[in-house]
Amino acid sequence: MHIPDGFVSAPINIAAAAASVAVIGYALKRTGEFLDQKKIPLLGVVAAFVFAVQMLNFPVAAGTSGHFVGAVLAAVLLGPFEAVLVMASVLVLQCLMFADGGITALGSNIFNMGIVGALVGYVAFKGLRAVLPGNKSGMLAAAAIAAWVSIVASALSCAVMLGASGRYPLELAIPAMTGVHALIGIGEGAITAAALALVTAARPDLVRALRRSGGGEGEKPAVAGAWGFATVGLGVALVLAATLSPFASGDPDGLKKTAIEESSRQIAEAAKAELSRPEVSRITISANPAVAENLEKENGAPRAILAPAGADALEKIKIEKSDEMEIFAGRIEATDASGATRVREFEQQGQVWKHSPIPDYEAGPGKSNFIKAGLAGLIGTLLAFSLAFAVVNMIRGRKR
Amino acid sequence: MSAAIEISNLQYSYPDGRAALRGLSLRVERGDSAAIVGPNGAGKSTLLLHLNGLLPPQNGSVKIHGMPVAAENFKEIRRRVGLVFQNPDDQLFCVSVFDDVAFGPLNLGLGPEDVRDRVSESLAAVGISGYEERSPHHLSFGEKKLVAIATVLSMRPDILAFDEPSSNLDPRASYALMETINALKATKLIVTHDLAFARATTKRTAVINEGRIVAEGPTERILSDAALLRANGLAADVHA
Amino acid sequence: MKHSFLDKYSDLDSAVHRIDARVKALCALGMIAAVVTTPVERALPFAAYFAILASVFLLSGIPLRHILARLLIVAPFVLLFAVIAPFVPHYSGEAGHRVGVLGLRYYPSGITMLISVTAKAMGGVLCIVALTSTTPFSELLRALERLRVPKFFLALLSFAYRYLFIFIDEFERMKRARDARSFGGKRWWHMQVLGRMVGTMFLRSFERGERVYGAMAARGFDGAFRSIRPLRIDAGDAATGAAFAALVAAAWLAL
Repeated sequence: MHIPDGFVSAPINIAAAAASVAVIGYALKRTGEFLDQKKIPLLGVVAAFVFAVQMLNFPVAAGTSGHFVGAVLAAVLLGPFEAVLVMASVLVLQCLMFADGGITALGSNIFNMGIVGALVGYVAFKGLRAVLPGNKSGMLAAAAIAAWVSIVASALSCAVMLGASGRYPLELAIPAMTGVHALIGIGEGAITAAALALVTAARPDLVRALRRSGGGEGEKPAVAGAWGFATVGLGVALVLAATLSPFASGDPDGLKKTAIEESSRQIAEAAKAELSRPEVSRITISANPAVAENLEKENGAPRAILAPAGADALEKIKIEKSDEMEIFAGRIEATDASGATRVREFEQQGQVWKHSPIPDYEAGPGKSNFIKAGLAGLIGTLLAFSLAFAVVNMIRGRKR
Repeated sequence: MSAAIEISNLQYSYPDGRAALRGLSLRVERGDSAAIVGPNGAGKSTLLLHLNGLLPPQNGSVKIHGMPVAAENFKEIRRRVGLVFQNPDDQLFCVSVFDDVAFGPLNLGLGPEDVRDRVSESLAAVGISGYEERSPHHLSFGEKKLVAIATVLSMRPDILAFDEPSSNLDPRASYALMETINALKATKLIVTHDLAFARATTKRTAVINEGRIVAEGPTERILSDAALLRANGLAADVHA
Repeated sequence: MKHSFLDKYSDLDSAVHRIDARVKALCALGMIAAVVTTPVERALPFAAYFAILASVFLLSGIPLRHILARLLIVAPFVLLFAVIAPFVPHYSGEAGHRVGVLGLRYYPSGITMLISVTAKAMGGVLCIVALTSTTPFSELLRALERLRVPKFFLALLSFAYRYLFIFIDEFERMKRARDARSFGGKRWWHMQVLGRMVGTMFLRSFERGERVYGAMAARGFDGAFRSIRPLRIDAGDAATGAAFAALVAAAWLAL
């Protein structure tokens, strides 16, 4: 998952680097102010441990193997922002020593694996702790699941970056990466739980002492209650997002609608113009690169171009509504009797939403809009929640 | 003139409750070289950690050159007491020998030139001049031990305390270390269960067992007392 | 135990090795920035970049096989991309050419993208290798300190670097011991064993961290990381840096 140079576009790399610097800066400030000096060599040595442990492979399935990451283990034992520092150090060292991850992509890699991995995993852990039984098994289960979540979240973040940079189509990158890492995450969860079990059995004093920041065993009920509320809230939000997003208005919202209308109008006009030329025997209108429809003259009244309702400027061409094809861009190939072809291409009008990471609020496999929209809602909620957690933490830290 | 080290009735228990030191008293005069011998688990290493305040006494007192070992005196005491750990890897935590040996003087607030001088002088004192740019993880175990001593010497301590200095050293390296230590001018406290080493480097010896000093006297006498040694878990064979 | 990581060739002596670490770091950064911002359609700048890098490597005396070995790290990403990129449109509205019967389409922009990504990924690796193989790690850290990276973070990197070889050795030993005693067994059980190894190693790292802190406190550590040894940039280094920057800029501007 260490992205090399050239795979992520510059704006995303810069934004991720800025975010990483901000979070690391905050984590440094926090560690310097609130933790005693003992943590300084401790974090360094733990970073060495994480580096070494990431060289451990375990078989996943069908000949592939994954390796252990350790973000959640570090977060549970040391604290979320300490884990961010540890993971960031490891990533920097891996970049410098092995060129594992490009320098320009360092900010993105730290963001995906260090920040998303550690913080989302930690949020998941705390949330699960609040709803699972408070005994040791409950804690281990929470850690295992949180570790799984952390791996999948990192993979998701990575896939989104690759997709938004135009390297891979999102509907391929996301299911591929999250699918593979959902398997690897099982190993991560199992190893995290086993490691945590050993540490708490061997040095229970250590676990209590280390987890002073971010809440330990003796947390006040009010705080624990807040976490429980947060988890339930998150759970509800996720369920809602997953089930209701697909039902969100199928009609494109205002901005899109105008663009569609304009593009459709243009294409319809051009199609009309081509059709009116006697030498043209056939035109092909393709709106989506994967789909092309042939239009044939039937009794002088050519049939069926697919476009959303509203683009009915064509008189000779009947407009039908379709789920599959929405004309944002298109090309018309006009063929005459001798086989020569003329091509006209159309760009969509208004590109604002096309550059957001999840264009059209769709993400995910296949043509099913339902799944796509649900998945997009899920992702959006998770990311928003984690962002909120980080921000709240920073504000709280400042108040202290 | 106050003693170099004065320990009175020191008591300390580990976090899990086991008692380590049960009322230990010891006095080491300035310029002395003293060994502390005893079986494993007797509390020898724990004792050393009290000399510079890394562990707080739970009862009793520790004084260095008359100063009580307390937070307000840490800075001065840690300059005067040089502690050489058993595992040099714990003590060499920088990425170059120069950085490690310079760490102490820098913390003392010395300027660049003085720091450089101290580094050269300390490396020379242990016989490894020229090692400044080496990386610790490329050194042999014996070399690491010497660098560890240098890291402490650069603070020009009055008291040097060694925790099992000859452990894991082969006879030749052990002998070289003996000579190096003997050449150092300071009050010396050597914790060891290597009786031959104790004999070669110290004039006085204290026997520690179960957290207390059970016998004390000139090294020759103590280490020749076979019955005493056997009773305290030390090998009877001292004629090495 | 010796490890052939970062430091393998950093103690050689060459014109490149002798340049001040700050200058080298800035040059490496500048070059990578130039490489990733050059559209691959412009072949001339890329040829120039690789020529510059080749000369640096020649001057430095680093063996070719080491460089090639390092380049392998990007292979998985690049190979996977090579399989997918030509069959995916890379700008909206691109139509592509039909290939085969399954409706698969081939997009020329995919090939361009593949070349671009490969060139940039490789360029990035080469810049890092050039920098780190000619600069001892301690100097690199000092250069970063001079370049205003927070000392606390550099201390983290320093400790991590210092102790990771020890942990790798310990893991190797534990793995050997484990392998000597295990005869197959279910995957789940393997995970448990791995997990216990990981837990044990964490405890050791924690305890070592405590001892290191003790050693630091014993030598007067009070929370501040101090250092001396200012890096000296002499006229030669400055001139070299400027010349390098000029070359890279010229190549970049040729587009």
